[in-house]
Amino acid sequence: MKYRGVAVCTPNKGDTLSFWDDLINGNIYSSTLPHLFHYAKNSKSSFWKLRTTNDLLGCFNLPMSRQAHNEFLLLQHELEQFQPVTNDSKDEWVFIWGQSKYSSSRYYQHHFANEIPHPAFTWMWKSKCVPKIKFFTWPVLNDRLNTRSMLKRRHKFLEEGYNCALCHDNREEIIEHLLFSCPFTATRWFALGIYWREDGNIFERLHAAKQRFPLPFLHGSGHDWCLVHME
Amino acid sequence: MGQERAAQLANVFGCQVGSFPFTYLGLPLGLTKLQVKDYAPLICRIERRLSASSRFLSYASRLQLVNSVISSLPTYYMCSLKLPATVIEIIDKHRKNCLWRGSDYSKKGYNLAAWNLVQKPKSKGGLGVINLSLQNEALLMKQLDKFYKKRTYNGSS
Repeated sequence: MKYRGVAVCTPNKGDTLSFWDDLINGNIYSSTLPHLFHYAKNSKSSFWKLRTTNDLLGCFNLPMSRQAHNEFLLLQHELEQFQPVTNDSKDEWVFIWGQSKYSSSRYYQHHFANEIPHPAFTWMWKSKCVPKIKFFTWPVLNDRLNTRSMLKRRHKFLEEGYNCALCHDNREEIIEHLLFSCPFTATRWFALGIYWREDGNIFERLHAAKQRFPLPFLHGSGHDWCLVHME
Repeated sequence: MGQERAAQLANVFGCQVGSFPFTYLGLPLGLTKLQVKDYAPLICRIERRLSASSRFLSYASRLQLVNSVISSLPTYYMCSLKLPATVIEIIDKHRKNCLWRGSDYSKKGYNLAAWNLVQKPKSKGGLGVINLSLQNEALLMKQLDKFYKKRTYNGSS
């Protein structure tokens, strides 16, 4: 059940949580001890039941395999180690994002928690330029800009060829050329006083230029990208 | 109960003979599991919003339209009903069309980026368009949470 994946329990008494299925101290026992789980007599028994039983081995179907036995010893050790804060108080349920109150937006955000994009995306959305230019920057950063080279990638035939429309160097219109190395663009960048590195991908270039340019970056450059885009 | 009897009773109480499913508190209410056609009012509302005006908007303003108008229309439904996959597909189709082509169905063209990429939050490299099935899950989980909370409160008091 998905609810169990986001609710973390700090067991005290341990009678409100299922031992095998709930998230306890960062792991779900049915998936961390898969072999042993296979031999469990009651797959729905609570944490409290397993902790207070005198005959832990009696909770499992015998005989068990060697792997399961190893896991059993591990479990026995962990249960002996476990020290509740107070024995009688209620279990504390906390959600995985660190609040005891459920919030559907936090659940939604949690789904994307593992993805770490380049900070350039944050610079871009936080910058002060108009939304139209931000939207233009987004496909640039994702390599999804509608260039002629993109048309070629999508197998669309162009009569005038796939070369850059702004210069006569017979270079294919890819993003790197269109925005950085094309002579037409280079003059615009020069006028603004922004210098790009010759090599590296777009994120490395952005990072280097951001360090070198004294003013708040991605403010003016957005306008210039717009300029390039329009012409 | 026969039709005549129903009509007679309706006459006594001064009301009309209705049939399931009908709209109750803004949501379709039926005896059986709701079918895709029961969600027609929702889809109609979305289609109405995609009027011809979005043709003249830029990409960025269309993104704003999708994010703040079209994506939030099904929210009330999603708080208590699990939308069928077909309905989500239909809504997604309208949202894609609105974002990339501006609700003009005859216009040709392709989507610049994959829908999965678009549906990521803005801070994660997407365009912040809401993933409806995930949002639905998150909102329904709220009901489950209420249920569990209530049970523990009763147990303690």
